[in-house]
Amino acid sequence: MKLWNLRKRNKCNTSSVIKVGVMGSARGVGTTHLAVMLANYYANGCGMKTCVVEFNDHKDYMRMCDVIGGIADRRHFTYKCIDFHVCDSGNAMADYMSGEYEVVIIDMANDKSNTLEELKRCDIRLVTGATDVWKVGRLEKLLSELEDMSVCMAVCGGNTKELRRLQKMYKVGLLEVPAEPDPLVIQSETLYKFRCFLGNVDRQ
Amino acid sequence: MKNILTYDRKCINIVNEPQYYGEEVYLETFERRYEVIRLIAQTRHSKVYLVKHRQLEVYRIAKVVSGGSADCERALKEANTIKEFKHPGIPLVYDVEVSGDSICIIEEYIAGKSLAELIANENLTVKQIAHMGVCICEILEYLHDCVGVIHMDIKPANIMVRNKSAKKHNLIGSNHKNEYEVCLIDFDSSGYTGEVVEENFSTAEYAAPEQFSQDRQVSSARTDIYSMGMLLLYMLNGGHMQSLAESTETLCQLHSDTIGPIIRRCIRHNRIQRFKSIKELKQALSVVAKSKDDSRKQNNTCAVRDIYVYGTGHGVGTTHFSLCLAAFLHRCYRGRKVLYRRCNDREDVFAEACKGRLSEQGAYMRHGIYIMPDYGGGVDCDVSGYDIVVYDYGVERPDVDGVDESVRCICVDTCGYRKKKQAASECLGLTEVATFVNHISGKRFYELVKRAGNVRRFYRMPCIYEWNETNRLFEEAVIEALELKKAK
Repeated sequence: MKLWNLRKRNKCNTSSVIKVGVMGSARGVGTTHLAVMLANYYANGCGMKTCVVEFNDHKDYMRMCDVIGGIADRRHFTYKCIDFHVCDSGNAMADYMSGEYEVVIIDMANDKSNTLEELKRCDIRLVTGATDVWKVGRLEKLLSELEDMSVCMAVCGGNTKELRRLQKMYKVGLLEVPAEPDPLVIQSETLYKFRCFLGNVDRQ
Repeated sequence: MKNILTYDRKCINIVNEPQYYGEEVYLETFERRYEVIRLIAQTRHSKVYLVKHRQLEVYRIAKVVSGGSADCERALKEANTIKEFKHPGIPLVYDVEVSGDSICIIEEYIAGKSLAELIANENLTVKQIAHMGVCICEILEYLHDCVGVIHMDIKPANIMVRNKSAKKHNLIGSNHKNEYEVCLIDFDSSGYTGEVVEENFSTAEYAAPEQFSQDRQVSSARTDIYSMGMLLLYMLNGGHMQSLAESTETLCQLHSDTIGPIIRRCIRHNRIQRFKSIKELKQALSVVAKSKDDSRKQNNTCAVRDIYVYGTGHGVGTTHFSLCLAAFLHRCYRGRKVLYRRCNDREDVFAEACKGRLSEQGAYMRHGIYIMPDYGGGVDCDVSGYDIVVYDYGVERPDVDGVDESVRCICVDTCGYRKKKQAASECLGLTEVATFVNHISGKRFYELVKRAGNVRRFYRMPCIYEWNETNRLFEEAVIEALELKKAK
């Protein structure tokens, strides 16, 4: 299923902001990597005003800020035309949603206790995971928990047979995430793949 | 059981049917046999549906005409004409149902897209265009010589093209990546050779002048030859017909060693001066189609590769000029990949580019050219796969030191002449800078040129509303500015 169809179906309000939720099934499956890649796709590949919100307590963006250097506010900064925000409350999230952005990407990591409600409000819901034998169980468990909402699996690499089985069993879409060494510089093939998967963007 | 028209209202939700359509036709027989899939096309008096045969499970085309006796007569005449045809490039007629003042014709379904859609998405070389012309000529040769019928409405929408493996004839460019099979449709304007044409139903852009003559004209093969010429011109022009008349000569001159003279001879106003028969036209096109390679492609390999465009300020029309230039180069060098690349401004062309189709190389294809916005370093794209690249630097002057002779530099300016002269002289290095002055009247421009004392390198940018439209003045100026004539 094309994700833009998914978005159309999930759309519950008239807001023009595209809300993308990325939830991980486990640690180290590439949730933040995908969130940043998507932010880069929307911001630089489609020219849209985009922010990515860290809605978990991993503090990855603060560490990223340290590596970039020269940034005063570690909780809110802009890099390569993408606005990064570290968010710990629902109120702040509402500000981003109703603010100046055309696209808001929420990096939920694997903390589903606080973020499930937020995921429900998203137009595009992605669940990252891996098909390694020690991780596939957690992906399966998360998919079964989210069975009442339309989600899409996003997996980098992985066993094709296993992915097809999960797709069939949970009736979910699949985004085969291209391997990108740097999420802030994507290849043209990745741009093309995201475009095919996410469909045409509605530019204002 | 519901008839086709009722189905149309309820399922396809087309409710603006005019009142004067008259009594609805109850096509029960057809409804039993066919399932309506979707509405393909619609005119004032006719509708074309894609239908599926319930038993055979094959697709067919159902053409329902319900505009009155005259229209039905035409449709019936069309069905009676094409029932005699046995050619793979012409659809078969399977069935006709007449009911009251309506008629439904069931025809063979030809999967694929129209030539208009193909031209909008594909970049055909001159050789491929000639191949396409040969294939259409083969169908017309059958019509003219074997059954004595003149089509009289040859246009891109009436030519269906589909990809096919090379096992059958009518294949375009079988030694190329894309192989196409051509079919000719819509015979409702057709007539027998020598028949007096009572009323003209053809399309204005492609119809021969004699079709609009007040005297009753006898249909002849030369009428179709004129339309073939216009069709070739349409393909060569990248799918544009607006203001074509003025750019015809430019295009024919640019392709004077290949298809240009053929087009020129096809579209002569005096029909005696055109090709005598479609066979003669086919032979002429075959020579171009069978040539080893596009002579233009061979000749222009050492011509312009990169063109740097910059403006002296915001709002002088640098982006518009660059897009016009890229579109012209695409028309000029058919089959060559022309890229417009925006530099230094992330916002500028995204809206226009996003209307096109994204390629795997990261550029959007729109109106035959590739548009690559400024991705701000977020997307890694390679420009080496393109033949000609137009770099739009906005208001930043490009660094032209050390560039080779395949690079041209163009400055776009408006009335601020002193600034322009300064900018142009600063950019003189290995490449010369041609300056296009925009938003300026002819009188004012010549005053400025006179004061400058160097007429050759200054050009006036004519008024072009759509960047993909043709303009003879612009094209002549670009040919001179970029010294494209050397490439011949």
